[in-house]
Amino acid sequence: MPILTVENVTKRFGGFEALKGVSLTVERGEAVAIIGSSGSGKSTLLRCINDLERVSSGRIVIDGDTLVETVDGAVKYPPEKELRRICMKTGMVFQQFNLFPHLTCLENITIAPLQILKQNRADAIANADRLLRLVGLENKADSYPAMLSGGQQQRVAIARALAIDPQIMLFDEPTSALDPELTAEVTSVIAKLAQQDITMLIVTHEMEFARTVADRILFFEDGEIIAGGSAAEFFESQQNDRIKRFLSGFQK
Amino acid sequence: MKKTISVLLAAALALSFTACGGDTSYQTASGAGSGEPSGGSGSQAQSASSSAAGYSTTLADIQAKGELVIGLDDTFAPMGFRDENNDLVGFDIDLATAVCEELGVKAVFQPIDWKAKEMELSTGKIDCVWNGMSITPERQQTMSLSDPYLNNKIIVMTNQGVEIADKEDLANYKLGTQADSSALEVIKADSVYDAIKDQLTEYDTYDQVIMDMQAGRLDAMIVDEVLGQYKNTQMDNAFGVASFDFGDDLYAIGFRKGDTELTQAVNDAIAACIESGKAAEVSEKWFGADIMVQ
Amino acid sequence: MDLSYIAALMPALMQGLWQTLKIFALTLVFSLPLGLVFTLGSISRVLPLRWLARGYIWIFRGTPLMLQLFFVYYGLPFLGLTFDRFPAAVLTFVLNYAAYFAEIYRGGIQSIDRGQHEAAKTLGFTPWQTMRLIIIPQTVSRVIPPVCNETITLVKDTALVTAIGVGELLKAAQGAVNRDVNITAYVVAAVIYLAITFVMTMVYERLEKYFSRHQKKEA
Repeated sequence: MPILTVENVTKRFGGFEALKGVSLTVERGEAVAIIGSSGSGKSTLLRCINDLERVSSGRIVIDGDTLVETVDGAVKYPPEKELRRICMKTGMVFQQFNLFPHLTCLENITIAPLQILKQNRADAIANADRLLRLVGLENKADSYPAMLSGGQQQRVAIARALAIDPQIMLFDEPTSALDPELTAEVTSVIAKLAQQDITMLIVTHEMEFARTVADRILFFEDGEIIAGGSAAEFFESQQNDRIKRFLSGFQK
Repeated sequence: MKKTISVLLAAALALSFTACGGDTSYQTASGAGSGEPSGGSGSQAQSASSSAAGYSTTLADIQAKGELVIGLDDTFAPMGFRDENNDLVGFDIDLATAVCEELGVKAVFQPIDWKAKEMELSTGKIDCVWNGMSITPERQQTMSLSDPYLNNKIIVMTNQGVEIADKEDLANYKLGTQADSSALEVIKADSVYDAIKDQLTEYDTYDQVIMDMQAGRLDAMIVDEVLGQYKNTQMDNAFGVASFDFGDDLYAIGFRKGDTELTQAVNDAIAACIESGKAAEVSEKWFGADIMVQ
Repeated sequence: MDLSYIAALMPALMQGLWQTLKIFALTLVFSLPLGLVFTLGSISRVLPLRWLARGYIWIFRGTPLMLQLFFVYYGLPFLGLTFDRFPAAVLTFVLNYAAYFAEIYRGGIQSIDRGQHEAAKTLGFTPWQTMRLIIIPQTVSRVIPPVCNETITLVKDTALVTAIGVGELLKAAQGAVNRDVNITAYVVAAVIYLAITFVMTMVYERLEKYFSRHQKKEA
């Protein structure tokens, strides 16, 4: 059974149709990268998967739980409490990090386990220490976000998302807000997660990163997935001229 | 929501009283109470009244509660003001105390904002205004006034080096007086007003008039004699007094409109104080002469 | 200036000051938290609650404090609610300042980036948990300067309570000026007001430093 199933999801903002019937599945342990030009609806899709946006129609199932379905044309979401439980199966990493500036790195990571999951303090801290080591920031536990570089902040944000033990990690352009010299430290952390078979769906503009980390690539254009395939196939033997042009724009 | 508000009010009240030492009770919506927790001197009190609206108070009411609540501006020397120990003193304080003794009740002095005196009366917060208040046609309409008790007149006080010959000559000088004062009312009623009105500035208080005299921006002030002479004495008679005046300005006590019986009772008590010589004694103490209306 | 005269003024001015400080402190203690209640109401998703809170804020910010004092002291007895002078003054000030603080808080809360709400939501926070654990703590350092400003206004506004016959510092000074025909008492009162606002400013600076410690770049 796939961890994530998206079926025929549409999303309209007023008269603008951001998603025009998107379907995809992500299997357990798989890393899927979504690429495509800006404004093609990639981020909107991620935001529908964790209920930051409401779909206009379609169905989304996460780890066997239905986040949303459309019955006889009516969009149906579960009650709020159930919705929160389902959304916590996803871990979100934002383009702008969105760390809590008034909390230390350690507190950023432990706040949800302590306040939401009601873990005991010692366990939450031990787990946070483990995650900080995973992202290579074990010496920054007591620093505030403002004291860190953008790359370091994003690594803490990844640790924070992992702390609620999600079934699938969602990355929304995790390196777009970073200076070029800082992207490597973030992409290498995500690559490490991929090696540990953590399931992830990544929206990115970094073609090299997508090629090395993702098992599968989906190409988005105008609110639709117009192509997809294994990373090797997609990059090495691309037949679609439109996609070739897009990819060549990213050649260094 | 109503309940929430009540709770908040109750909380605020509770804290107010804790902070005040909690030695006083307070008036509730329905019941009578007394004690003003805010006062510096402890001599003020809240009037005790049976209902929120439609007050009327008789001598019997006053005697039943044992006190007459007197509203006054406690910054009005020499009638009622605070001495250096913050105690309330003044001519009206002494006279009212004597009169209340005559009535067999306690005089309770409640400082008020002078501009709010009519409201204080009509909402029953005080029983009367007794504070060097001049008789004016307007006050005769809105209050029940006692007989005049103190002789007073409207005079012109001049700055150093200023000599004013007569009323008509006033038009040549810069003049000041207090807005809403009896002095201003008397001037306005005088035939000379049209000639001097452009020279006349109205101030919030006589203290401001005096400050402008001292600053040299005014040549003369038009003021009632009791107040003007008191101020002048404080300033070692820096100002002169013109030889002419604007006529009588008599002081009276103001009661709630309709409380004529109480007004008459106080009139009788004042007469008794004059009879006994007590009133003359108070007048001598404050003005060096007996200027009571006989 | 004559020092012995100033010394003679002090007992009355100190009594006035005590009144001023009591009104000031009671107003702050109650209006600061009450303001937050109205803030939460004014941004609530429950419409009647929001209208109620916004209507309240509109009325208390939109009418003169002096008028509110008159209404509470002279007007409420007609509705069966009678307060003594001092409680009426404190109550009016609390209600009035709560409205101002509510708007300051609301500005602070709404200035927090939307990403903070989104991050909290993806971690499973309810809207109320988000407000309590994430948004409000970040708002504190942002609202301290405007709250400080409002507090200084409050120190000076306390002089309005004389309108309903409550004594305070300025009234005490006026009394002395009237009695002695000498403006020294005003000067002394001004110095006392300045001293209070100076202390307030220091306190708020310390608070601001403390609550914005996480914003420092260096560790």
